[in-house]
Amino acid sequence: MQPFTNNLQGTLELLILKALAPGPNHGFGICQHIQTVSDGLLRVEEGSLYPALHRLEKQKLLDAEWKVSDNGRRARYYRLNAAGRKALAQAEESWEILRKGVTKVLKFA
Amino acid sequence: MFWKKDKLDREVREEMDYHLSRQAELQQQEGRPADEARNEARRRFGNLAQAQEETRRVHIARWTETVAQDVHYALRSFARMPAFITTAVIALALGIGASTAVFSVVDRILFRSLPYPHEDRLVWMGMAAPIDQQEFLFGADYLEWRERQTAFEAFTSWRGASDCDLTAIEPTRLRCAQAESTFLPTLGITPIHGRNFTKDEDLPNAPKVALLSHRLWRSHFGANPRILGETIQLQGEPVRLIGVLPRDFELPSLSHADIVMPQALDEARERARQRQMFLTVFGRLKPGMTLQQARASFQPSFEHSLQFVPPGFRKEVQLRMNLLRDRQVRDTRQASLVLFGAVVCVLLVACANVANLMLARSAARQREIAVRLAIGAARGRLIRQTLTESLLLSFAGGLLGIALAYIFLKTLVAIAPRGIPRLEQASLDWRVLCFTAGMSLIAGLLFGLAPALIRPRIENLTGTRAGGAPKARLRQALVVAQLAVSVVLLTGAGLLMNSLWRLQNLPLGLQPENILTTTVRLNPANYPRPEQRFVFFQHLEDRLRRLPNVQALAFSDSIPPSDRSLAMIYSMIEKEGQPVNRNQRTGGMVVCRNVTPQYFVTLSIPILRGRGFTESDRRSSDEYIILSNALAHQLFPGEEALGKRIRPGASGNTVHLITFLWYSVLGRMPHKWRMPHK
Repeated sequence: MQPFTNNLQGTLELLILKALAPGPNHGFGICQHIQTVSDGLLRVEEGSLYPALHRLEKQKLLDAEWKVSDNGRRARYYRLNAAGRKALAQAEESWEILRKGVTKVLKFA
Repeated sequence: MFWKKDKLDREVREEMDYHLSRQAELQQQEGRPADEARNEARRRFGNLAQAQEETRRVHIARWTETVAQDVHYALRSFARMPAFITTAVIALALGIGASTAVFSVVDRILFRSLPYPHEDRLVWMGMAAPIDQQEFLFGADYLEWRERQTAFEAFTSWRGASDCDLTAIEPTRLRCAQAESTFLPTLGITPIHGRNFTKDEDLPNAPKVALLSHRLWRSHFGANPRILGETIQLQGEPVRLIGVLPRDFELPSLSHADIVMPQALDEARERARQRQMFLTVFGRLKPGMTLQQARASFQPSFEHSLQFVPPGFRKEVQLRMNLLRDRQVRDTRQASLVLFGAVVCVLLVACANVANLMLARSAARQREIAVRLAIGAARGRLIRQTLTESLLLSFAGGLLGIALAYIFLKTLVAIAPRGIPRLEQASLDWRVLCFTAGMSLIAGLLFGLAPALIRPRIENLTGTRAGGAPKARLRQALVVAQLAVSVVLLTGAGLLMNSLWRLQNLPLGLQPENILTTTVRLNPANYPRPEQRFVFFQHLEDRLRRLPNVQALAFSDSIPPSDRSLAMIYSMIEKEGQPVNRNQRTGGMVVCRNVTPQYFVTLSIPILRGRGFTESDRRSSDEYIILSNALAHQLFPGEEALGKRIRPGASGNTVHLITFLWYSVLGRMPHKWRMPHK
């Protein structure tokens, strides 16, 4: 295992990628998903979510398309592609290292 | 992917609207009234405009947007100061135009490859001796060297180009190059139609064949490939056309040729050293062979050939070997570099000028810059703004400069003296345009950097002129640099003017005013015997003399002062009663000229002692000669040369024209000029 050197900024991206793992979703859906699954412990700020989504799209980790959603309006749906899945796996691994590392540091005192 | 800015705007807004509507729905489900639910959704979202802006920014490569802004801003500020812009652009256009025009000339001379494949392996070689200005080999030496040489993969010779006449329905004077059958292959030239001549066709008595230059083929034969195999009349002899040379063909001597023919060297006679043919020799180095190695390998052959040189002359004979390019630009290289350096100086002065203008302008804009800085413009952004302005200026200057360069180049080609290699090929092609673009870029950076690097100060906001000091120093430095470069330029120009003045006023020993010259060459096929030629010129003389405005008229075999004339080795001149000492050095070359009696009167050359030629001397069986004062004193120190008899010996490259006769010295004339020797 490689030591974790990345900063914490990747956290939002990790959450987004993970939230899209079950299937395509739009921004609002991703927000809701994260909030529900984390039992309301995590809330994604919309002001950060959309730039992050577009960044991931630009990095070619996500594909985006306009589709009509359940309420009859057009929504932009994001889908994990192959590169995105690979990035997700890496990010999860990194997160695990970070978690272990931080836990050990906190327990030391 | 988003490409259009509006579309991106719309889609980002729609995406977020959707989010807001879903959030509002959720709030309504939790029991809030519709408008309150919408407000709550907005509140939860936070700063919607900022979120939209940040999302958009993901897609826009930021620099393109800001560059467009910079350009827009620069153009707007230019529009406010047309006088400044006009001055700056004209200054730059002059500098860039001049350097572009000169570069297009110099490029051909110094940098561009010759029209031969692997030109870096082509070598021009021969013996350098006072009897000819160019290196040469005698036929016999060439044949021996060719057999022994190991350094070249191809070794060839040619006799040079001479006048020849197309004697068909429409007679035309052409230049014919006479070369060995291996000449074109050694240079790597393949005819575009037909073929090169064979070794058999290069034999002395073979039926004559010829290759046409592309230009002659087009101008006289309608670019018709079926002309091959047909026969033309050249110098009154039938010559079969066998090929057409490529359009970009040029002779290694850079002289012009319309036709390339076999030189038909009589090898047996050459080997017997009965007749010394002057050949110019080229070789193509074997791959990996250096010029030094090749030179060393020729040393034994050279020493062998030296045995045939009179002992006294040997020290003055050298083996010379140069890469073809170096040899071609030998005389023009330095001139090209000087000229190029001069225009680069002009460009630098122009840059300094514009930099000063920009500085003056930025002084006027201090407040504006300070305001922009105060409301949060990044310093890098301000520098970029200045650089954008200067680059725009320099490219405008570059564009105008190209137009100017075109005019300069036309003028330069028109007024330039003959003999600058490849001048007529100089043109504004893509290489030159790349150079111009590069020059504009460098110029823009040069004069843009100075004002850009001046740190604007917030204090300027107060309106007091506090920040002037560093700028003043920079401007002073620029003015000093400008003056320094100008002094260099002026000094150079002054020296050149001085040389030109001295050349113009060089005493020629004759009065060139109101003298007209023309050259008449007779076709040997029509006038095979000397008597026929004599009669022709006598008729010509009689008829010209009857023209109303002709005061005096003379014929000569060359035009003074320095046209190609006969030359003989000084130490081979035999004085009566005093055999030539063959162990003497050459003593340089003596130029001689065959003239008609009126020559001295026509050119106002005084006879100092003795007398000039008379009409009766022309018909006399005795031979007469007039010496320059200097030669007379050199030949007969302390004695009077008049009445003495001398016999010129071996001569320069026109051996057969000087008969070994005794000449009586008739008179002496002033000697004011000397044939330039290398």
